[in-house]
Amino acid sequence: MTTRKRGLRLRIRFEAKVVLAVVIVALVPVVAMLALGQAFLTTAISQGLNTGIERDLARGFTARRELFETVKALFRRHADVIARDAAALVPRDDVRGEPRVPAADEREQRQAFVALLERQLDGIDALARVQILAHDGRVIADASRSARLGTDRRTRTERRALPNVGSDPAQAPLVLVATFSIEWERFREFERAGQRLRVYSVMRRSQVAATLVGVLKAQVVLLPIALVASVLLAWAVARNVTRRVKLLSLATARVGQGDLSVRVRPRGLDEVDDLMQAFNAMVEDMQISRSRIEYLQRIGAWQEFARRLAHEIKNPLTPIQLAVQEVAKKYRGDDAAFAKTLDAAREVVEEEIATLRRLVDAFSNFARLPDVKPALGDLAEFVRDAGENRAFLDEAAAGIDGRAEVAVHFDERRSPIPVEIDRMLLRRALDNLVRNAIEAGAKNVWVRAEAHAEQAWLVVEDDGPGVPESARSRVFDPYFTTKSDGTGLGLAIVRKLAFDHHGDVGLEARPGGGARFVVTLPIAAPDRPTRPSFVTFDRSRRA
Amino acid sequence: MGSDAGHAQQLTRAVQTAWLRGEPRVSFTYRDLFDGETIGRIQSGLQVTVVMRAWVYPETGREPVGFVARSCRIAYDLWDENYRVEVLDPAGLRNVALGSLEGVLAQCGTAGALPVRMFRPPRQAERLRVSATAEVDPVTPDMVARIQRWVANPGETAADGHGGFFDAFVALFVSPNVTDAARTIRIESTPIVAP
Repeated sequence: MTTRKRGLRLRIRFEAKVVLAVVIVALVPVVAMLALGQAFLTTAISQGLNTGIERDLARGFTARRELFETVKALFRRHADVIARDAAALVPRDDVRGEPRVPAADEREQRQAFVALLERQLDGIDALARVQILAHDGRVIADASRSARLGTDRRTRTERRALPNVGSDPAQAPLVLVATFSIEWERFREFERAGQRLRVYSVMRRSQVAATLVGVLKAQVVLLPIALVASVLLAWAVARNVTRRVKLLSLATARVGQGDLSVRVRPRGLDEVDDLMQAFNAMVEDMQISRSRIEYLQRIGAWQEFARRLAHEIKNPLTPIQLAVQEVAKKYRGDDAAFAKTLDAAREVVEEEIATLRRLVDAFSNFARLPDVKPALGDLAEFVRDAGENRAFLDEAAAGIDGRAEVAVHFDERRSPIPVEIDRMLLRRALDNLVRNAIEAGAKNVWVRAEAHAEQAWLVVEDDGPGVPESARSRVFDPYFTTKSDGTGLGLAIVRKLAFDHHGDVGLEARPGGGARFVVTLPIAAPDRPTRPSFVTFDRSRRA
Repeated sequence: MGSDAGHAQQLTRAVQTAWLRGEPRVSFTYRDLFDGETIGRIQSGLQVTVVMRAWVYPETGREPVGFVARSCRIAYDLWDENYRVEVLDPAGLRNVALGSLEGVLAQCGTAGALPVRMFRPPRQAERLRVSATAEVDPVTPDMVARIQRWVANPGETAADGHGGFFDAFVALFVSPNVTDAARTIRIESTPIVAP
């Protein structure tokens, strides 16, 4: 319950912090931009939407309108001038001197009109067509520029009486019809100017300043959306982390309660997963360390027991032996049978005392194992050296029920395997392992050094009967033995020495029969400032 | 200014009604809409739009039972010096050219036998009233679109702009605010009686 509460509190705190950080990171610049944007927009609105600009737009529109008026006035003036010039060419009645329509056969008169009209067309760019018509509509003269009558131009026609008798062309014998044109684009510009003025007017009229604030409102709507998205994203990311942190928290709590079997399962490649892997490695190391400590404590207790036992047994042995020898020596009687019995008893007592002395020696050796004093060495060289100085092993082999026929093979590997070892004590461990193999009934014993990843292996294997699987977990316990005359201390000493070398010893069945003992030692690296953690025998780590 | 809409001139006047197949044809004038400023705008060559909408209500009711609308788009042609008027009403769309301002005011400031589309047949002798709103240059969807484009992209001309996502987004906020007209009058009729 407490763990759950702690996990919950942790998650809330961490997630809240992450979310808060994201919100702050997202909110501060956005709010600042909104404030600046509003200030900028307000300024822009006050400058952009005012009566001055509307007035200027209106003036622009008016200017275009006045341009049209001016153009029209200009066209009217042009028409007046052309009419005046043409009036001078109008023929007169011979009798009354009144203007008249030229007759059909008066070619020169008509050509004079045409020449006048052509000159006008040449001189006035906007003049597209000019005609002189009789009052009944007959064409007297006609001149035009077709390019000025295209669909891209808009025309305007002026009519003038020839000569100008009053202002009604219908009263005159001749009529001047002048058609002017300008580009349609001018009208479209005028229309667009009117549209702009209307739009601007509506915008100002409709207080578009307020509507422009709608743009800000749009941003205000976008802001929460962005914030919610940011918060959700941050929450998802944070939750992904806190979920695994919570797992670690729960696992740590279980470790705190003494459960070293707990493991967490990393699922990614980020730092939290690195932490989970480190946690697993740490718990595994703790588990190994605890088993070592427990073993060493047990060994320590057994050593103390062995020391006391040796002391208690050893002390009375000599008086017993002397007493028996004295009794046998001082008998002067004639009873030959009794004397014989006495001698037999003395011999038995002396043999048993000798056996007890060996046992006491074994206990004493176990109880007084010296401290390991490691020095940098080469495990391969150590094996070669053991092979070259194998006399003690051969003696040991020969001394065991006369089994001189046992062959001990030492590997001649040359490539160095750097380790920090106490050569004397490691030799003792090797001696114990070889002795154990010989005592088990092996015909051949092989000794070699191997290098695996960060571990160095001292391998001792034999072709003996092997160790039953049911006994493998106990063979390193003190006083556990499967042999009738064994003390059960040899392998316990091996493991104690392996631990003292920051290593371990393992046992497995040898393929083909027999047993294989592996003493694992950490490989010494010259650039490694401190000793590595304990190494254990794990076949999966074999390189 | 926009405040004109809020201070629309309220008028009460008689509406002539002729009934044809259960539908009233209303006649009334709203020439009051054309004040000096509006006339000046027309004469300046600026295009001016006049929209009249009329609802028929039961005399004391609030739910309309009939509706009719009429719009005039007036443009003075400076070149040809006449008024071009585009009229849209239940009779359809038609263009007319008028030589005088008076003709324009008569054309665009008068409803003459305008057929009202009734949502339901009037009951016999039902007392009804006509409520009309006439506006000068009301903000049309087209105008709103122009404003939206201008707001979304001030660099473009109001006439040519075409917006994207932001344009559409801005429209959500701009449209509701642009709803009034340059000038508005409201006309309430005296009661009319269905035959």
